Amino acid sequence: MGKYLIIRNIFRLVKFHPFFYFVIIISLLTGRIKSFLVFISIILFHELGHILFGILFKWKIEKIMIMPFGGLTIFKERINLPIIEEVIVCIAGPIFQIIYYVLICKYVDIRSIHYNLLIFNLLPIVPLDGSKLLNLFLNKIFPFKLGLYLTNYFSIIISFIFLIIIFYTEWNLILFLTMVLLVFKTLCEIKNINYLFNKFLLERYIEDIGIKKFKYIHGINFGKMYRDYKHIFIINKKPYTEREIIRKRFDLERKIW
Amino acid sequence: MRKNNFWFKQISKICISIIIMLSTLILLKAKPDIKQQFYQKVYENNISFATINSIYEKYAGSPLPFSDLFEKQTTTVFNEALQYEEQHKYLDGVKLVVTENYLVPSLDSGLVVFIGEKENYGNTIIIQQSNGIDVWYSNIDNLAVNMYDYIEQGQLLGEVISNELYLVFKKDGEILDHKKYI
Repeated sequence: MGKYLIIRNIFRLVKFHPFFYFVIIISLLTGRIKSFLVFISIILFHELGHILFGILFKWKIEKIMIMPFGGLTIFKERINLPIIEEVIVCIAGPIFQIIYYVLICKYVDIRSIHYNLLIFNLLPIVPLDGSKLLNLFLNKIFPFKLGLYLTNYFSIIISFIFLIIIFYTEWNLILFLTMVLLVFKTLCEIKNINYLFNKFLLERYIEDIGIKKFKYIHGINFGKMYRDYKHIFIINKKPYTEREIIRKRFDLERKIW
Repeated sequence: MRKNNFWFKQISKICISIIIMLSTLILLKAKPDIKQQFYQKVYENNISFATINSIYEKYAGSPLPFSDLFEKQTTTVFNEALQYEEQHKYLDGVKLVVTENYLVPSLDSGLVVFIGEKENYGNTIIIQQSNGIDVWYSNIDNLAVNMYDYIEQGQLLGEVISNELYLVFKKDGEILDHKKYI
């Protein structure tokens, strides 16, 4: 009964982007619905990978958005998760796609669609899997906030290069609209950076994130906080814990300082 | 209030269906030939997907950009035109005498809309071309194409059984003169 409920709830979470309906209508009118069905099946298998591994780590799924360039599985989870878990969930999608391709390539000709989707999905543009992997990698070597900024600006640069290539090689309406949508998503994400950073700090204040490695920061500089470390702030040669400093940051009525 | 709403919905549904039924009956009485026109529209004419596709591709590129973005699909294409020794009239179309087991290239690009047996023709492929003409390639075996594939000009369709190939040209259900096209 419980498993049945999970499956029914997942179906309820699947949502289609308006742009997706536009592409369905075009592929119906131009008689390419067969290739389009193959395309959707690849996208669904890709998302299945993310979803299964997400459930394995007991993450909550917010919604599954199906778009004409691939799917987006949005999890309702903390930011301070172990990096390894996120990497596994991220890679599970492409791996499931490859497994699906190997199983079905004898019966249906899906070679070019499969390879193109796989490469496109691994580009470092923000809602795609490539950018998630890039962000996780940057979290390892740079502070959290800098990592977010770098991922988003890199994403915008890559999408503009892509747009210029589309204009000068082969004009394609759907590809152009896709890139506009992606740039728009990136801009929304840049607006969200401060919100995400506050969430990152609050999570560290509210609960124990289960990290044992420590790092020292001189002065109150939140921008230097790493994702996979706990921090000790040194102010006027006195050590303070991370929780104390974050509590003071969110103390808007200035009762403490 | 809620119960009233339920019955209101049910009764209005029934009323609307009765209105639709009566209006079609009245239309059929008033114009007896409308039935035939309807049948012709639904069963004989079809949307020319290939035409819409060619217009769309001209202005907006491929409708499936992810099928040839980084890696292009490869198809084998013949450069030669259709070659035959003699041509005779056969039923609605033309009978071409070709060499034994001739490999048939497509005359023009289009969409495969039918694969199967046709009476008096044998195994047939129907290709909807982008100029709106349906071309029948009959008496073909060892097919190299699948249903609803888009094919390019000169792409291999299949192998002729013995040495006779039948072609029929149709547009909106009317048979066209074959001399213009081969």
